[in-house]
Parts: sequence; structure tokens; C-alpha cells
Amino acid sequence: MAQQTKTLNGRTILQHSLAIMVLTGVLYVIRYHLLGSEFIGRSYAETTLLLGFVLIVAYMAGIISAHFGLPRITGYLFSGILFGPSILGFATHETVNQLKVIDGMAVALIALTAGGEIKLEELKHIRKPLAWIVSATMLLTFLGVASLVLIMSRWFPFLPGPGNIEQWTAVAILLGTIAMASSPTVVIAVISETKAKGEVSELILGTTVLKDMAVVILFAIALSIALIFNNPGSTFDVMKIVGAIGEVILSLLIGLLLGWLLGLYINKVGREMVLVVLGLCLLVAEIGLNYHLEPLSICLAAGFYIENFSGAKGDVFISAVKKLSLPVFALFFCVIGLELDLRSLASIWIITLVLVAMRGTMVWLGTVTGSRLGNAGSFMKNYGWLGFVSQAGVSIGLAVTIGRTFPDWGVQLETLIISMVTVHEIIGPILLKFALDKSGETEAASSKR
Amino acid sequence: MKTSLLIGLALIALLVFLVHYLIRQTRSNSLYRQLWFSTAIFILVGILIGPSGTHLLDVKDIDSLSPLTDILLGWIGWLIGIEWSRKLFSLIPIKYWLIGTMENILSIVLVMVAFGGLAFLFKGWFSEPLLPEFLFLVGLCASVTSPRSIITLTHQFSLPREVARNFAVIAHLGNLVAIFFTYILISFLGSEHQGVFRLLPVIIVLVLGVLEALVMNWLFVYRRDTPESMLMVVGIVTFFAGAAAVLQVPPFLAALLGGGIFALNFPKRQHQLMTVLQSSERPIYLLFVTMAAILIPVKEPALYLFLLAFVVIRLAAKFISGITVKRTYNKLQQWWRTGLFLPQGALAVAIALSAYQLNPGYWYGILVAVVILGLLINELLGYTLIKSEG
Repeated sequence: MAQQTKTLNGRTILQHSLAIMVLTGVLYVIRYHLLGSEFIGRSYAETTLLLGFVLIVAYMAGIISAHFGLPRITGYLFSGILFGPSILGFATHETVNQLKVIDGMAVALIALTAGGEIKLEELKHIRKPLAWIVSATMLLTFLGVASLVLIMSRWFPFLPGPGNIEQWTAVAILLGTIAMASSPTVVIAVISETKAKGEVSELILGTTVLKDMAVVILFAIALSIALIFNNPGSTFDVMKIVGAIGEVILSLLIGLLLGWLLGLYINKVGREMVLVVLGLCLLVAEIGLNYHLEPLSICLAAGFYIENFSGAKGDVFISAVKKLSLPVFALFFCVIGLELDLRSLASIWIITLVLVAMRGTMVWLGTVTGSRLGNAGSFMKNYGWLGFVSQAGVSIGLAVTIGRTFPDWGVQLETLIISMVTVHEIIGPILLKFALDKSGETEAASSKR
Repeated sequence: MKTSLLIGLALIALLVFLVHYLIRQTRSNSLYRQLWFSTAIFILVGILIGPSGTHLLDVKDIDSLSPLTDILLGWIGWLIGIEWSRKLFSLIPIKYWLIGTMENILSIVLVMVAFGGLAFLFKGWFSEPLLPEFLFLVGLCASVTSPRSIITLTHQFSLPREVARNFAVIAHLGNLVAIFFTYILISFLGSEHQGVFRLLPVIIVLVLGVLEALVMNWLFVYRRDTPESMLMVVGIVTFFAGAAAVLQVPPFLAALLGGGIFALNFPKRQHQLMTVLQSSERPIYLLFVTMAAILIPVKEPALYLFLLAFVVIRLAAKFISGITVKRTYNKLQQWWRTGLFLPQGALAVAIALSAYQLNPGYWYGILVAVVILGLLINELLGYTLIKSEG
């Protein structure tokens, strides 16, 4: 932080401004004067151009964020929002879609980093508070949000009028389930950036990861129940639930297998680690896409296995993963920013804020209750809940499923969920960094002490 | 991705693992050999995953991977350009400049003439006439030598330091000549403009190179052991690679010029940037050869004939130009050490690939494949020649 403040002096600001003017100028000329003309070359070239612009702008925004004591990923997100289709429109929906190709790879890499952060020894010490916090936050968040939806449903513009309790219940169940999810990618990005170490960061990471897996299974159950409420004639689909549980278990098993194979590679060969990491992420992203498995769970398990069972050389691998993480974080969160649709938020901001407030309250209540029951430390009781506010990819993915499954009102609910995620995505990293700073677990905070 | 392709990928991974494991088991302490095997494995992987191998990547996939190729070419351009040094250039005696230029031009001319002769003799065999610019390109690709390999080789055989320095400097200067000619060549490849407008690609490359160097200077902040510097460099290289690709000029040349301008004008920061660029040099190089190897059409008989001709003609050309070098400058010990001029590096592949990007014709594709495979053969030839002399 001190280093950042020092580097952001007048000269740096001038140089950065000049650079951004040149880059914007080049982009502007190409985008608005040359596109469609004879000058334009190979396909995907515009995507490469935008990718570079996004990385540079994200880097600068990261520095500015850090200067103001905010997490870098907030800067990445804001730069994405600023240059995305919602505001300046430098990136079109088409180029954003092309950039999304890296999503799967980025999630895989982030999960590898997260898995590498989970140490079995430390996990043993926190298993009791972990179990209580996961249970309490999930249960209370679900109950709180679902109840609020039932109470407020008459004010939902897209829902049928009074008396349609079945559909209201379906919406309440789905929204309550999605509200339980937090974002492991945000958590790992902020923990990596702040180099936080301690009970609070371990509990936040562990809880978020477990919640993420549980939500995938619970969503399958919620979807089946919601279908029954929405179409009274339909029956409960047990196979869907078995399938969801199977997906998570299979993903974890594949992850452990990959971890074992990688451990073998690390110990017997141990060369070209960066390329191996990239290859692995690509493979996992492809597997996830084509076999409906969870890249996050696969890589989490692989990273966990390598960190805990591959001996001392496992650290070499994890450090190769971390070497790649910053550009990937910058790109990933910037693309998320590009995707965020502020127009949808503008139209339903009152309902969104009410739901966000209720979710936040319930997450706080759940964390306090879970921490008390599990005898977690006072910092976790006071600040831990701030780490569970963020939401990202999984929630959006589940929202899209709702949109597809319930054509009558699903698309509008999807918009509502995405606008909630937008708010959580923006405030989540800031709150998490605040919590880690307050707990004294970040590198900056511990060096001050 | 189909299940069969996943199995294909798993088999490739297994192959890489096995070959690496076997190399380790031989306990070879030869760095040169290890690097050679490593390059060979990644070329093999490229062939296996490409349309000639398991079809893991088809033509459409290759097209969608073009941004990655552009970025890698940009990175390699910077890696080469950043090594330019005003101080070093001023210290090199004029005699070396002459030798380097002569060695390179002689190689280009000899290769051009020999290939031109072959094209004339076997007219019917070529499906389309080999144009002078293509022959010039072949000469350019054949003329370049890898200074890095020269240093590794001389170290491997414990040759005197003076030999390593002299040969590396001459190769470096020769490569500068090849790079200059490549800039000229791009005006004739893929450009539909006529007259003075043919120079437009060269001007675009110049402008992009200057802007890239300036932006790099304004934005690059070096921090030891932090990935932030890397993020910035990746961003700038990617942006200008994209800009070059959009404007139909080779990203490699724009980046090379950017690197060169940066190195010549901001020497104080040159070393810092070089540290960041070189920290990823090996993975970038291996990824680059893998990507280029995807294009190798292994089922084309023309590839092998062209490869044979390329290697033999290049060997002869380097032999003749080497003798001339020796005659001009006697301090360069025995002529056999012209084997040191044989190894090739990423520059040759980058030139061939850049030309292919501008003109993706059949022979240009074959040339890329020939240069990649020639990379392995030429490295091996250089090694064997020097070893055979004891």
C-alpha cells in the first residue's frame, strides 16, 4: 500500500494519462474509423486488441483502487463496467462473448490457487466453526430471503397478482437458494492480493468453497420443487438431484485424480510448470464445458491434493500457479465488469436493494450464530460476514438456468438476480478487504502492528 | 470435445511425461541436449494436437487461436528487440558489422539462387511458380542464426570465450540485416497497394513500434518478484499485437521495433524490462513452437522434399559464407566452427510465420513447417559438426 502511494505521484499520473490517451486513440481510430474498411485484417484481431486494452486499463484501475485502500479487483470490475457496453461501449457484446472464452480457464486457475491455500492441518483446527458457520449462514439466508420474497411478492412487477401463492413460493425457493451462494473467486482473489493469513481468512475461504458446492446440489433440489409449484401436475425429479450430487462428487474425484497425476509429474519430471498449469486449466475448462462437471471443484480438489500430499515440490507447482494468477484475475474480473448490465439494475433498483439488505442481514446473523456455536474467534464474529457478501459466476450461471426453465417469469427473475449479483460484485470485495484488514490478517495490517 | 479427443489429449500428456522422464533417467548433464529434447517434444505435441494428428484442433480452432499466436509473436519480437544496445553497437568494430552483413547477405543470396535453380529445374513439380519474394523469404529464414544457441554450444564444448563472443556478435549483426530485409519484404507481401502506397505497411509498423515503446516506457514499473510488472507487459504486448493484426501488419515486426526503440532510447530501464520478458521466455518459446507446429502438414510429401533441400542448401550456404568470414577475419579460428552458425531459434520461425500471416498460401505454410522442423535438424547438425571435430 505504502509502495503504491509512493508510486502514484504527479509524474506517474501524467505518464499514465498520456499512455491511456494514446491507447484510447488507437482503439478509437480502429474501432470507429477503420472497422469495416479494407484495413481490417484477420478475424479475432479486434478481440486481441480489446484484450490488451482491458489488461492495461485493469492494471491502472488496480493501482488507483489500491491507492484508495480498495481491493484491486474492484478496480478491475469498474474498468470493465466503464469500457463495457453499458457506459462507453468500447467493447461490444460480441467481443465480450469472445473474451469469455477465458472464463473456464480463469475459474480453473483461481480454484487451483484456492485449493493450494487449503492446508489439511489448518482445516482440522477450524472444522467445528466451519461446519457451524456454513450451516447457519446458509439456513438463515435461505429463510430470510425466501420469506421476504413471499411477503413482497405482490410488488414484483413480473409476478402474477394475489392468490398465485404457488408461483410466489417457486420464486421464493429459487431466490433463497441463490442468495446462499458466495463467490470463492472473489474471496481467493482478495486473499491472494492482501496475502492474508489467519483464522478469519481460512474460515471465509473454507465456508465459501463449501457453500459453493452445497448450493450446486441444493439448487437442483430447489429447481425440482419450484417446477412442482409452478406446474402443479409435474412430479419431483429425484434423478436431477442424484445427478447434481453425482456431478459434485465426480468433479472432486476427478480433481483428486488430476492432483495425484500432477504430483507424479512434479516429483518425477518437474519441468515447464507454467505450461503444465495452463494445459491443465484448459483441459479442465473443456471437461467442465462438455461433461457438465464443475471446473471449480475439479481444480480445487487438485490444488488441495498437490498442496497437502505431493511433498515439498508441490510448493513449486503452487508458486507457478500464483505466478499466472494476477493477469488472470485482472482479465477475469474485468470481463465480469464488461458483462455487468447496469441498465437492468436501473429499472429494478429498489427491489434489488431491499433484497441485498435482507441477504446481508441474514448473512451477518448466520455468521454471528455459527461463530458462537462453533467457538470461532471474536474477529470472525464481528467481521467474518463481510466476506460472504460477494457473489459471481455460479449465481449468474444458476440465474441463466432459471431463465431457461421458466419462460413465463424466469427471464425477469434472472434479471433481478443479475442486478443483485452486480451490487454484491461491486461491494463484496471492498467489504472482504475491510474485514481482513480489521482482523489484522492482511500483510499490510500485520506489518503495521 | 469428444471422448476420443480426450483420450488423445491424455495420450499426448502421457507421451510428454514419458519422454521427459526418460531424458531425466539418462542423467544427461548436457543442457543443450535437454533443451533440444524439450523443443522436440513440444513440436511433437503441436503436430499431434493439430489437423495432421489427433484433430484435437481443427482449422476453425486454429483460427480462433490466432490471438494467442499474435501475442506470442509480439512477445518474441520484444525479446529480440530488447537486446539491442546503443552502447554495444558503438563498441562493435566496423569490421564485425561488415562480416555480419556479408555472412548474412551471402547466405540469403546462395539460398535464393539454389532454390531458384531447383524451381527452374523442376518447374512441373511445383503447383504454382515460386515467386522471387518467396525465394527471398526462404533465404531470409535460412540466413538467421541463434546467438543464444551459439553461447550454449560454446559453453557445452568449453570453447574459448572469445569464440562464443565473436560468433554470437556476428550472428546478432547478421540477424539485424535479416530483420531489416524482412521489413522491406512485408511491403510486397499481402499488400494490395500500388506505387508509393506499398510502403504503407512499413509506415504502420513504424508508428506502432514507436507508440509501443513510448507506452511501455510510460507504464512499465519494475517491482522485483511481483507479477504486476508482468501484467502490464502482457497488456501492452497484447494490445499492440491486436492493433497490428487489425491493421494487417505482422505483430512480430511491430513488437520487435518497439523493443528495439525502447532498448535504444531507455537503456536504464532496458535491463529491468528484459528481466520481466525473460522470466517467461522458455514457456513462451515452447508455446510458440507448439502453436507453429500445429500448422505442420505431416502428410504432405512436398514438406519433406522442401525440408531436405532447405537443410542441405542452408548447410552449404553457411559453409561457404563461413569460409568467407574466416578468410576476411582470421582470428575466427578453424572453419569448422562455422557449425556454430547452424543453430536457429525463434527468429526464423517468427519471420516465416509473419509472412504466412500476410500471405497464407500453400508454400508459405510449407515454409513455416520446414523452418520449425529445420530448427531441430539445424540445432542437431551444429552440435554434431562441432562434436565430430573433437
